[in-house]
Amino acid sequence: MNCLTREETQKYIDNELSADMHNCISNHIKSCDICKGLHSEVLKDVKQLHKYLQVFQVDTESIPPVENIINAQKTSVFTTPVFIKSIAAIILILVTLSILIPYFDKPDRITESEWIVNNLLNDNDPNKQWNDNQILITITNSSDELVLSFALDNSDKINK
Amino acid sequence: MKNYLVVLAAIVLINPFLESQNTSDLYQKETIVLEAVSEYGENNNWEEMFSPPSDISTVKVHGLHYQIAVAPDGSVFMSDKYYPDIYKFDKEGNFIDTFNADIKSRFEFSIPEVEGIFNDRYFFTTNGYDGIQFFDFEGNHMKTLSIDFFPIECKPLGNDKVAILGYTPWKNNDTKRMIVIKDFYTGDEITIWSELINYKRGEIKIHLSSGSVMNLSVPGNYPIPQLATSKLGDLIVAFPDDGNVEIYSPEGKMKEGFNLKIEAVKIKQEDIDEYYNVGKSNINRFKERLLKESNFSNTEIEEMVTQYKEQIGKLKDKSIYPDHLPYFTKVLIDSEGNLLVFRYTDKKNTNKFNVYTHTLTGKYLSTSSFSTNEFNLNFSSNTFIFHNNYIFNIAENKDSNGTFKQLVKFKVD
Repeated sequence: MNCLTREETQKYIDNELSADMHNCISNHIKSCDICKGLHSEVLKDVKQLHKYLQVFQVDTESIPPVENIINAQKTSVFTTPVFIKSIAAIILILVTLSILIPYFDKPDRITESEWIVNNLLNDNDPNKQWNDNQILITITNSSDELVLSFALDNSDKINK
Repeated sequence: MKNYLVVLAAIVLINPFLESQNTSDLYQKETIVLEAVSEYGENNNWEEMFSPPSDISTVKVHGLHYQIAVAPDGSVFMSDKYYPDIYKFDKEGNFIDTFNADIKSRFEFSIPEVEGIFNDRYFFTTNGYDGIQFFDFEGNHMKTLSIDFFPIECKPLGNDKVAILGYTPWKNNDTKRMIVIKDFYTGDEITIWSELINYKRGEIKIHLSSGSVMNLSVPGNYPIPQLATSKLGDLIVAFPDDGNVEIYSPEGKMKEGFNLKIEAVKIKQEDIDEYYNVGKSNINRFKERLLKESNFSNTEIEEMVTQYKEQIGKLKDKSIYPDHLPYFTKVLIDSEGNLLVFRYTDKKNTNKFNVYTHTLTGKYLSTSSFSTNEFNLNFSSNTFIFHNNYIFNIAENKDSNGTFKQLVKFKVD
């Protein structure tokens, strides 16, 4: 058997080889000083790496496959504090609006007839209106659209 | 130097007394005769200019409603509720031109109304929900101040502010009225007064089989506050329902208030009977107007006339009238800054007003009235304006039998 490469040595240490290959390499390492030295060096690197991982409290024995980690993150997003706070804020806003909206619930537009009545009652000379005994008449159709408006009073001429 | 200072101090101390003495002398007269400037507008054909359109069935707005504003040089801007144009007259009263002030509106019936002069640079109009429009004196549109309510009246104030009295529909068929002060540059606004009212009193509502509704209304109910601008640019708000006057700074802070101490005219049974008689005697005229000005079928008109006859008796119901007339009709500020408060009179085409001192502390000076030989004066909003010891008015020519009015410039005697 030829001497091992660093990669082969790493796989041997990580037990990622078939049983036959693993036995073959074991016998080679026993008889080859160069491969024995390489084995020691790679083993030393692995142990150092494990040491570093332990600092971050990573269980090197049971690191799940990446795919499982991603799926786990997907299912947990709805329980994150940011999401919960967002939902709470939306609920609060909706409750507030449901309380306040009825007080600001006003029609989108003023009807023409209302405009006519308000303008004529508010803008004309009130003293003249009173002395003329003015009666304001407005007629709106079923859609609340102004059809006709005029004033009747005690004058002889038609009052507009 | 010492003598100079003494003289100066004397002038400063005495001058207000002299000023108010001149004003109070004028208003001490029971009647102030206004003399029309005869050559004013002599090139105009007033009858042609001010007559309503011949096809009045297309006219949805009634009231011969004009409003004017007088620029610093004496030129006049006028709006007419029959048309969307603004008329301009030069300082001699001659017609110059019209401007189309019909900024695109949400409502087809919305027509611009001239409200006043702002900062001696612009005239401004209101146009329904389309806000306050500012134009230069050449008629170029300069700015729009948006509002979310319907304006009734708008007055310019100091410090680049405008005051707007308006209303908007509210829930439960209420109407909300408010007075808002708005900044011309920033658009920031502050509401200084508001109230909710429901227009039930004063109205007779008749539902017809076609689904149409006929409303009969009498005046005197729900009087609206009257606005004016003091010489210092403050807002004066006068309330006809209780006779109170409040003065606000342009920033919306109330500076002072007082009561006009006017006795309100009580509505008597004979007043109510007179209203009923007018309603009853106008049945034929009511039918004439329907035939002439509407497209209702004969059947519909007959139903309306029948309903009118049956319901007109409600005009005798005391509950549709207020207990008393409002304390006053209108307020104006004259050229000196005095507050003129117009009262209700018991005769047609007469006027009477109380005068309160220009320092606006509520000090009553006198009661007087205006008189002219040729015209019936009109004291509607923005039709009676003091300007440099003249009065501009949209007045009815007595010879016209009410068919037209004209812009008149009076010299105050």
